[in-house]
Amino acid sequence: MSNWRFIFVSAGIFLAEYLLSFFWPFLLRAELFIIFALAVFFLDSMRKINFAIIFAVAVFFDFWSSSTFGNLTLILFLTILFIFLIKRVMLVDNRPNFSALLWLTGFYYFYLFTKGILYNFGGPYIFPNLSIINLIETVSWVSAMLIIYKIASHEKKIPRF
Amino acid sequence: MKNSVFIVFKRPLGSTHYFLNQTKQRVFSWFRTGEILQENEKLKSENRQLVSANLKIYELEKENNFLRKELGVVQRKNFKIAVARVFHQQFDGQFQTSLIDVGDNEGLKPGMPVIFDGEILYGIIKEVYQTSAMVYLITDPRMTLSVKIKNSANQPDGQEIMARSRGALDNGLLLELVANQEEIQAGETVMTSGLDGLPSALLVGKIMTVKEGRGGIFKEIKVEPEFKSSLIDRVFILKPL
Repeated sequence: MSNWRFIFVSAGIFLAEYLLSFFWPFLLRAELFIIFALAVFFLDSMRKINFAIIFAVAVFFDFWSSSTFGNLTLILFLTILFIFLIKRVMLVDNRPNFSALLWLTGFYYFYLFTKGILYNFGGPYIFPNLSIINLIETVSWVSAMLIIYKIASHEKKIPRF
Repeated sequence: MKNSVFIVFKRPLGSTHYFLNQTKQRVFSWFRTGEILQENEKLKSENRQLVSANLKIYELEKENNFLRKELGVVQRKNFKIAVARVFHQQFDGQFQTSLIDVGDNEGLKPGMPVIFDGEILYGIIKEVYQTSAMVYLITDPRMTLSVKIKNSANQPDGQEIMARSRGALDNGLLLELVANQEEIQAGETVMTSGLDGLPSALLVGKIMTVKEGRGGIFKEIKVEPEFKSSLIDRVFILKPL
């Protein structure tokens, strides 16, 4: 996936979230950009996207997040570090789609648990919603982001001469 | 830095917010014409009742002022009001917040209540920037309020049940610390008690369900927040004088 496509998809996610917050505010129970960023980091084995771009877009989403500035970026990068360690230890690169779906769901829940600590620092721990319905919703959003990632990262192959 | 970004984006986002709210209102009213007519009839009859109740309140207010004067009691503190426009709402599944377009420039401080339409509590200001502020909605799980339950037919006159509310996202609010012995019914009104620094009698919501608690001590009560059924565009911030 190219840098421009990553920015384009992120802008689309921001607009989609903005519109959903009016027309159906209680539908969106997941952070789409976070899932997308995790999918990119987990699946983009060619490292085509500049890390600074991911950082800059994460900072932009951080401005609109529901807590103090910096928390979202920090948790995202902790999760990315976690993915990096998992990839190193367990060699999970180039997994089939279903396996990637499970891994990404796990990484997203790791993000949510970390967020529960940092977003209410000093107060009681805010547990993420762990109901079956919420899990189904999360898996649906992860699947949707995986599809968007696949479409966005599809590039025309130049035939060999 | 956050403030600079909001300065750039708040005007276009604010206008979009207003436009989208109007569109949503029109679309909804188009599909609910029959319902609206019925509601209109109901509101008319309620309005007639309120007019007579209002007259009684006016008389009571006069009597109250007279008695205060006689007793030398200082009148309850009033509040100044700042008007703001919501330009961003964040519902991410774990927290619920919104951003408003006034901040330090209007003298806002963290902890000030944000209300709309007839003293319905919307949220509390948590972070203030130069020209904007972040509001935690009452349905955010980080928000706890001291509340009271009113208008129960089962309660003797003047007796109110005190409780603590906690935000439960799309489930509205949960009431805590209400003993199983208390008689509470669905539809009763929940309002702020004034014990936690907020003004008293701000409308929070209506009781949706009441269940006996599993532990045998406290009830499990769900409250439907009043703001959920409204379109939020402009809000008011209560600033102590």
